[in-house]
Amino acid sequence: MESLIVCVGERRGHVAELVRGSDDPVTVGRSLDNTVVLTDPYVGQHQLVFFKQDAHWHVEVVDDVNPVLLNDAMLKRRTFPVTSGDRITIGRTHLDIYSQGYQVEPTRKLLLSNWLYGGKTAFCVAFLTVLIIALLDALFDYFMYAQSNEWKSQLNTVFSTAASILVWASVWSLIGRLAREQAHYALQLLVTSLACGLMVLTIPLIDLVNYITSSNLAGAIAACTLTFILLAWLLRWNIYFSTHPPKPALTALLISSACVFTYYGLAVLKEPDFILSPQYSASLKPPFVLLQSGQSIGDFLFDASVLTDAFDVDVDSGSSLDANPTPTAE
Amino acid sequence: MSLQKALGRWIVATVVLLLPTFMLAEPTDAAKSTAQTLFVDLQPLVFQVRVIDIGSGDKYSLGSGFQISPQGHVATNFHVISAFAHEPDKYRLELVTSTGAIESALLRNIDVVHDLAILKADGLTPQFLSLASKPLEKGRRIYSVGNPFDLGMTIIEGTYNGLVKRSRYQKILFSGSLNSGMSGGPTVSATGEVVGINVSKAGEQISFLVPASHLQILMGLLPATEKTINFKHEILKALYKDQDDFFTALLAKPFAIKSLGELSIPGDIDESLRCWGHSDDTEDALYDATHQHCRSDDDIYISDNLVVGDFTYDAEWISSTGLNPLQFYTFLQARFTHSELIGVALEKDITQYKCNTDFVAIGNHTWKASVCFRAYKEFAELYDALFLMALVESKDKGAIVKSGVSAISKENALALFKAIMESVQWNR
Repeated sequence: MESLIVCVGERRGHVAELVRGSDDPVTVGRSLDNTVVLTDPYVGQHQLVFFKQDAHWHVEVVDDVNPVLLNDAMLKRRTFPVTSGDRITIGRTHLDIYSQGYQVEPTRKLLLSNWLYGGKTAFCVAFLTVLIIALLDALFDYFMYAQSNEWKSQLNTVFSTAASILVWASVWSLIGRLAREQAHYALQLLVTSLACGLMVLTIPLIDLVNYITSSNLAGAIAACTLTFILLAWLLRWNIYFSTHPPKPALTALLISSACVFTYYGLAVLKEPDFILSPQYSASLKPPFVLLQSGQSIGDFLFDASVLTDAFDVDVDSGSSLDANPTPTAE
Repeated sequence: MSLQKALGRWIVATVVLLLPTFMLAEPTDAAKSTAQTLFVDLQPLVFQVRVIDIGSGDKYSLGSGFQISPQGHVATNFHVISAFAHEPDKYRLELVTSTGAIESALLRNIDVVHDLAILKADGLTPQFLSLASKPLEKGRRIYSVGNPFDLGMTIIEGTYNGLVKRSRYQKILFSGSLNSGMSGGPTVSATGEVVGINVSKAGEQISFLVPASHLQILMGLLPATEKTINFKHEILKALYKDQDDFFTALLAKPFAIKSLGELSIPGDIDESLRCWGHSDDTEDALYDATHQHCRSDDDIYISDNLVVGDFTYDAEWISSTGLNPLQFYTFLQARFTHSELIGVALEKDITQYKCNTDFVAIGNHTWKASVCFRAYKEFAELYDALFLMALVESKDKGAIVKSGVSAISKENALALFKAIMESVQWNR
């Protein structure tokens, strides 16, 4: 390496501290007379010395109170050579070592960059998408659930769907404005609309699972899974456009898990301990997905007969038919 | 006109004018006299029956009763003394005589199906009321005695209208106004024989009596000794036998079949079920629907919070006149609900339902069916059973058949549901 560059940390899109060395030694430590001054209490006052020997840079460990790691491997020697791209770890501090000619990664293309800075065109398309999705929701609502030709009730669906999308996108735009001074409202509208559209198209799957399995539990699991996936997908893009964290997908998965777990957990906790009405699979849709012709009457009633075995009724001798009857007068 | 003639005419006119009054008065006086006479004769033999809460010493419930043997046996309704039957350690029984004397009583036997109970008290006179050995003719005047609303012993006159038709349990229809507190009191003929025991009312001048013949049977089943009786066991035995007898007889013969739209279904399952039907074919609706709803009017009182004996049977035929398949099945799905059984039941009395739901092949068609059971915590081997099925093969035609029975054995419930399923047919 011709010259040494020591990078300490990263903050708000740029290197926290970058020291360019010449051929002179570069010292690292907590003491203020070092070239690179650190504040980590686990770093010694005079911790490291970078020096050039035979046209190569080396590091000497001056303070051996705490171990020094090179690329996550503990060093056993006091002096070792360093090359461009190495990472030295002392305590809680990472030092990245580079030469001037270090090749950084190629420029990444910003996703949907035409939309990020598309101006009025992007807004128009986004609002149009909101309208289309709201109309799609109303159309689905009509074709699946309407019992009469009353179109007025569908208008309510259009307005409520559009309002929900606008509010959600607005909240995330506000977060983006505060965190990165970039609202990206059009993009937030677009992804929220797409997520809403996906939800409209996939919600019938819940009924389908319930119908095929004749199980409310299976339907509930399907609902939980679908909600988790859609919410995670939506949050991934909301978070990406608003805050651009290093791992938006992981963050979205964690938030989605927490939301779904909390919602369904509260729903389970809110259920009364004792329910007087029967709980059974009441789904009859979609009728065109009848995958089986049905079991025989005898088999069905046999399955029903074992239901009574599951009752945990404490039968004392007095309330069972097996108890001795009271003798009657002659 | 001479004075004699005028006086004669005046006498004739007076007699002619007053004669109808005398003629009408004579039977009314006779009727009042019968009621008065009966009241005087019956009053010493009719008591107020009280259930006393031992803890507070106050009345928990009130009713009436009457002496039926020289040994001091007293008849009343089961529902008057049910609290004592369920919790004999918490309550005690008292009889209050016409003179105000209070006698303690023991519970000797019960007939929960017909809502009867026999108590026994010491210290009563050997006089007692006789039970009528044969039924009266319709239209006869009968007299009900009891203590309504704790206001004192009263007598109410009414008409005997025979046994209620289409009833699972025998009940006499009494055209008189029974009131709360008169339960358990006697209703007697003009000769003073007990025709029935006051039990309930259904409206103005519509009341019901338990025929005295059931009291006669219960008297014959009195225990030989005065040992402690497990009344919960007796209730279970009676309920089990009653439902077994009823459903064995019901299922012994095939159901009469009738048409409902394109469906052949059981018509009158039993004469005790009262059926009503109606059709929905309004102009704005995009479907036509025909319904039949049947329900039994009879029930069996067990306690303040538990009434059993409900039996329902419903059928619907629905066809679409403008709904697409998804809309039609949304409508059908909303109606795919189990029957609701009438009969208060709390968590301490009954478990939650457990259900089995699946697709069933009936005839050559597929139905979605559901059967649910819940158990009685104090009466083993008795369950509330629900049955529901919907036709799911056609895109524009549907049917729903359902039934619900309270306090039935598992075997009888499954046999009933099997009979219904095998009787239903879609005549496509």
